[in-house]
Parts: sequence; structure tokens; C-alpha cells
Amino acid sequence: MSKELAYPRRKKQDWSSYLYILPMLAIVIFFWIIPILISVVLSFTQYNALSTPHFNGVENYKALFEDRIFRQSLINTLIFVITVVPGQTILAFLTASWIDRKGKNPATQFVRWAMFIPSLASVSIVGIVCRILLNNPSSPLNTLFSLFGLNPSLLLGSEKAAFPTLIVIEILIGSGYYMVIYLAALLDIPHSYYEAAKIDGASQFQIFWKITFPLMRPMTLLVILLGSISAFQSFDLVYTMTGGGPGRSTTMTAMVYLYLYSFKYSKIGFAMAIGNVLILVIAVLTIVQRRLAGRKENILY
Amino acid sequence: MAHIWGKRIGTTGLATVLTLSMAACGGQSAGSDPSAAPTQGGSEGESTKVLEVWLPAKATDGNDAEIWDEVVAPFEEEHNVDVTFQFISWKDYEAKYSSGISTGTGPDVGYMYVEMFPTYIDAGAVEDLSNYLTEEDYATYTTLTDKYKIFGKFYGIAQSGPQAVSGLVYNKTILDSIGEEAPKTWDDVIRIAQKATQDTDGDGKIDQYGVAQGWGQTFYQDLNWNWYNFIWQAGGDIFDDEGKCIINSEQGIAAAQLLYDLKNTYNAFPEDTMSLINNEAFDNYFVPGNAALAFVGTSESTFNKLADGDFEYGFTYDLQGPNGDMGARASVDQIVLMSACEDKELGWELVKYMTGPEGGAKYRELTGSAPSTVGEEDHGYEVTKEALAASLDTSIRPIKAARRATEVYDFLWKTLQEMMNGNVSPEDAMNEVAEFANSLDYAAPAN
Repeated sequence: MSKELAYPRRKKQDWSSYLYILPMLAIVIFFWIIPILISVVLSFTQYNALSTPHFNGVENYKALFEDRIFRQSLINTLIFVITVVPGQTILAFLTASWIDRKGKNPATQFVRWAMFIPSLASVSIVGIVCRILLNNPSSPLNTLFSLFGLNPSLLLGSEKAAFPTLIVIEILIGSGYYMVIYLAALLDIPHSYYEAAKIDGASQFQIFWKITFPLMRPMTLLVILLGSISAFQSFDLVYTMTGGGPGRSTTMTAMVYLYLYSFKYSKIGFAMAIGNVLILVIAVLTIVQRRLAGRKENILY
Repeated sequence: MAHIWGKRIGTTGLATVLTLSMAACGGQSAGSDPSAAPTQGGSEGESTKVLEVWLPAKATDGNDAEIWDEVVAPFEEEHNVDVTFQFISWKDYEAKYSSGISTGTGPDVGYMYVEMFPTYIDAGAVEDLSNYLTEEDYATYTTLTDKYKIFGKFYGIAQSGPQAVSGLVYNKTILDSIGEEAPKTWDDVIRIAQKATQDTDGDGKIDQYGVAQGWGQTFYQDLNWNWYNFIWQAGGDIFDDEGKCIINSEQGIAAAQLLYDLKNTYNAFPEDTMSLINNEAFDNYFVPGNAALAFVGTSESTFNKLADGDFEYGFTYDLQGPNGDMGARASVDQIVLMSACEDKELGWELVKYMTGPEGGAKYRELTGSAPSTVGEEDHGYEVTKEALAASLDTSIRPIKAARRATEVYDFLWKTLQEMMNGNVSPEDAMNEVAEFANSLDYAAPAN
């Protein structure tokens, strides 16, 4: 076979593959890459959105790392991620396993919808509703808590309880979505595996631990990855329920801090610096996570 | 081959990024003239001009458009102009306004509250009305007085007289039960707060409180009821005339100490005061008759909540601090002429019409707002009308404009929350706020 005959075939394949990725590539470039690069440029300026940006070197970054509230917001964000992600992953997995084992009945249908509906609603709306449920003395939640002598209207004002309260609510909101992902994966496991295990005399725990759990590992890594990114970017719930308070930084997260500087204080350059630091942190953690999860048995096809 | 394509794509992408970045950084220079309205409609020769107005959505039943269409109809006819309105939610108003102005798609005539002004003045985006106002205007408007100036000048005209004035509301029935009269001074407030905080049903739990006040608001809005009045009554202020923060004055510390003591020394606030916003505290404790005092905005909706209560109530705007000073915060939001308006003469005519004895008075009649022109009938709320008129010159005032005020107010609010939670002393709290505020640039930008 001559070289002339081999080349045209390869060329045609290259063109069509570029066409397939072109729409997504354009979206990624225009809505992700370019804004990120613009934000990098603006982070080196003093800019209030109304007048011309003035280059101010690394002043924004210098001010950022001297800012006690920003440092606390980064710590809070990390705490939020390392508590919310395991919490919602475990809850989602256990609930999906229970629904899968029990099959379709009114109880499982109710739990499935009750957990999934909050993930369909706007988180801001959920936050406002939760605030009302906690603070209104005649709310069902208040009535329920009062039976045990507890007062939920103390939670959001307490420096010790406010952040854990937000974490619990975020876990409850997010777990429904991941439960559906797990459920789809669980339903894909062939029943013959379980039947064979039962014939071999395996207990329920052994079946779960030796069959279900290992087969769910790739899905778990996906859920952790998606959950981590979502938790890092979590904004609506904190903003509507506490605004970062009580006090200056009790529940302040990096995204809320970014919003305040960008939209309320019109310090766009400083806000962009916050955003870029956050992008860097997420990128590093994602790379680490992918390295740790990069074993062959974890690949999700 | 793929390598060459990769290079080409990379080069094109980089060029695009740099072009867009430069475009973004180029921005719009201060005071430049973007291609904003008024635009021309219709055919040449018989064109109808268009003026665009942006307002916050204020009507509780959502009929802003209906009200304003009725108000501006005579103006449109007289000037052959089409006035178009955009009603924006309070929550998004500032962000929308900022993005509109920065992209050259803002309004010709707008609406601003005190906190908004400095940024737009510094950017040259809002007109200084010194050259527009005539002697007749000064004689017509009751709000064209010194206390409504921004940085010593008029940049807008108030849409109405003082609104949402912060006052002290008291439960007369509780005061009678503890042998007290209506409070007139801080000493009265402290004494009443202590005496009213009681276990009334003898179950060992406090069920009646001295003051229904909430400190759980997520941003600085509740400074309107929980702070400005107190610092003015103490004889102080947050900023001086140059914009320097002077909150750590003796007066500022006295105001902070009063609030700190009411909660932490006299335990006169409900247990969940740090979770509730001020309105929630009012609804949960004062409205059911379980609190003697509340500091709230005295609007019609506030008093409507008390209509079904089984107790008598009263209110005052004239609470006096230790040296007899008084202060009641009012919002006096203004209609402004934007510098981007091409036909400024027509835009100014619209500002005057929307606020003056014709259109403005009609708006105030339709919405039950306080008057702002001489000789205008008062359509304000009956319950507060008389008290407002009596306290207008003695107590009622808007907050002072200052650069970076939004950032300072947020910091102040959150520092007050820490103080009320007992983490920081009143003196340290005020010092921290002053230090933070004065570390920010508060000088006018060089022209």
C-alpha cells in the first residue's frame, strides 16, 4: 500500500472529530476559559464596574492574604466540603441501597420523592423556607422540636450552632440528587450476582460489602467529585440563611465573600482575586482527587 | 498534522482572549457618553422620543406599572414622549443598576437611595442638579434643604416626604401593669426594659420581654432600626462631613453600650434575639403582646399587624439620649437624572414632573405617601401623619452619604452582632469599626 492512499483517510477522520467537539469547545472557550482569563486580568486592577480599571499590581492578592475574614472563609469552605460531601454521599448511598433492596412500594416511592424534590427547587427558596421553619414559633419544625424541649429558633443566631445547621441542611438538600445517581447504578447490577452469592451462603452484609460496595466505587468517586465541586461553590444557602454571620465570619464561605465584594461593594478587582484563589484551590484538590482515584478499577465507563 | 491544528487553535484562542480582555479592561471612562436612550421612534419628522426610567418595585400588590402609567400620561402627551418603566426588585436593584450603567444600557431617569449615590457621583454617572434647580424649585420642594444634600449638593429630588421612619413603639397595657408612662429618654427605656422582663404565668420561665429586637439579619438593613437612631440620640454619627468614620467617639460607644446592656446586662431581649431579623422579633414578641418596647419602621403595614391585638399601643420619634439629643432615621430616596441621558432638558422636566406638584403629587396620592411640595395635601398614613409633622425638624433625618458606606455598614452590622453575642466590648467594637472604615479609601477621586 502506498503512502498516498493512506493519508486521505486519516485527514477525513481528523476533520469530523473536530466538528463533533466544536459546539462544546466553543461553549467552554466563551463561557469558561475567556471569563477565567478576564477575571485573572481584572484581579490585578482596581475596578468598580463604573469607571476604567487601573492596574494595581498584586495589591488585591496582598490585601486578600492579610484579610482575616478571607482566611476564615477559606477554612469554613474546606470544613463545609469535608463534612457535606461525605454526609450526602453516605446518606445518598444508604437510601438508594434501601430503596433498591425493598423494591417499589409506597414507602420507597415516598422516600425517593421526598429526598429528590428539594434538589429540584431553587436553593435560595429552600434557604428562605428553612429560615421560616426555624424562626417561626408556629412552624411544624418548631412544634416538633418543642415536644423535646428544644428551641430551633436559637440555631441561626448561635456562633456554635449556625454552621453545623447549614451543613445538615445542605446534606439534606444535596443527597436526593446523588441518591438518584446511585439508584440508577444499583439497578444496573445483574441480579445473577446476588443469586449466586445467596446460593453460596453469603449473608446480607457480605453481599453488600463484597458485591454492592465494590461495584459502586466508580459511581462513588463521581458523586464525591461532583459533590466536592458543588460544595466548594455553595452560595445560595449560606447567603439566604446567614449571609456569612452571625458576626463577621462564623459561616462566611469564599463564594459568599466573593459575591459581597463583587456585587455589593463594587470591588471587582478584589472579588476576582478571591475567585482566582478559589479556582486554584479547587483545581489542586481535583487533581489530587483524580490521582488518588486514578486506579484502573475505578474507571467509569 | 494534529500538532499544526492544535497550534492554530491555540493561537486563535489566545488572540480572542486578549481581544476580549482588552475590551473588558477598556471599559467606559468616567463621565463618558454611552449610547443610551433617549432613542427615537416612529417615522422621521413626527418622531416620538423615548425616556427610560428605572425604579424599584415598591407597590405591595405589584401594580407599579399601572400607577406610573397613570401618573406620566399627561407628561407624555404634553411632550410627545414615550416614558418606559422598568421595575426592579429591591434585592437586585443595585446590581442591575450598576451593570446597566457600566454597559451603557442604563436609564435616563433613575431612583437612588443614599447608600447608592457616592459610587455614581464619583463615576460622573449622575447629574449634579446645581445648574438645573431654580429659585422656584427651592420654593416648591420641602425636601430641598441641607439635610437632604449629598456631599453638599443636590443630585436628585425626593420622591416623597420621609418614609419608613424608625420609631419606638410601646405596649401601653404592659407599661400600665408595671406603673410606667410612655418612654421619653434612654433611662426610661432601661428602667421599663428591666421591669417588663418577667415570668407572668409563674412557670419559672420568662415570657414577657422588655424589648423585642432582632439581631439576626443577614446584612446591614436592620441598622435602620437597631443603630442609626441610637447613635444620633447619643449625639454622635458614623461619619463626619469629610467622610472619616468617627463611630468610636464617646457618643458612639455610649450607643453601643446601651444596646449591649439591654441584652447582656439586663437580659431584656428574647432568648432568640440573635437569630431573628428585627421584623421577626416584632412579629413574634411585640405583636402578640409579649414585649413592652420595639424599635421599628413605622409604616402602615407595621401598624396593621397591631390592629387585632388585645392591647393598647403608642409610638414616638422623639426618644432622647443622655444629653437630650434626638434622632429618627427616615428614608428619603430620590429621583435622579443620569448623565447618559441625551436630552437632559427633557429628562430634567421628567424628574420635576415625577416629583413635583403635578405627577409627584398624583403618585403620592395613589400610594398614600407623605408630601414633598409646599401646599400639597398630605395623603400619608393617618396614624403617623401628625407625629411625623411634629418631629420633622427635631428628630427625623436621613442617613449621611459616605464613600465605601455599604462595606462599612456591613462590617458595622456584623461587628455589632459579635458585640451583642458578648464576644467583644462596646468600646472595642467601635474601635474596630472605625479602624476598618478608615483603612478604606474615603477621599473623593481626583478629577
